[in-house]
Amino acid sequence: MGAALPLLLAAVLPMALIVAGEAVGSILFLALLGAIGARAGGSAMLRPVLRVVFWGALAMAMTAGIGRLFGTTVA
Amino acid sequence: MRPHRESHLVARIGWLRAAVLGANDGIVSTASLILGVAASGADRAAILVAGVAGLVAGAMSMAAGEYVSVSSQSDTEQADLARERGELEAGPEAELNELAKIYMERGLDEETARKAAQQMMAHDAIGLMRATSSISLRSPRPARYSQG
Repeated sequence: MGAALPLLLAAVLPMALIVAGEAVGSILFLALLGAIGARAGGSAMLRPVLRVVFWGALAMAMTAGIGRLFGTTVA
Repeated sequence: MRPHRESHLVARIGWLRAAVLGANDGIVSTASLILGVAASGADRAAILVAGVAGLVAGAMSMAAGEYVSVSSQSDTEQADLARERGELEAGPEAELNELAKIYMERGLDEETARKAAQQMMAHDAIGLMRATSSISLRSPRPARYSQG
């Protein structure tokens, strides 16, 4: 189950590093996943890895941006 | 002549696609949710609550989505089969022509196509309807295994 990995990160990372660590860790998981998928399907590694990393990073950047926006307005 | 060995990785594509999509979905949605909450300056308790809620919501939503998608495909196929069965009882000749036409479109001449259609209908008409109707249902698009 994919969702357990980022949740584990959120539980163990020190609070000072939680945003950066969560982002970097999850992108690494995504890259690993893309590589496994490519390996199992017998296709080249690079494209699937780049694909999952790109879309994952975009999604995370968007929600982090929203969080920051609301965080500063509220606080 | 050596025995011909089929080794197409395409056979794996169904579960592979489902697995990659599922894991990808879990990571991206949960990590994005956690990042959004964390970037707002929330404490760890709030971040973990958001993460666990996101995990449960994602799992339920995927399971329900998969179930609904597979059920509706199966309902469609069942309804199609019932309709074909009715048509078969009402006019076997029309069904025979329909089947022969499919084979002609695939390259058989009329005589061969009619002969093949007749023999196959005599063998197992309902099973044949099932096979041809599911082919015509699915052929425009690749089979869907998972809509995560």
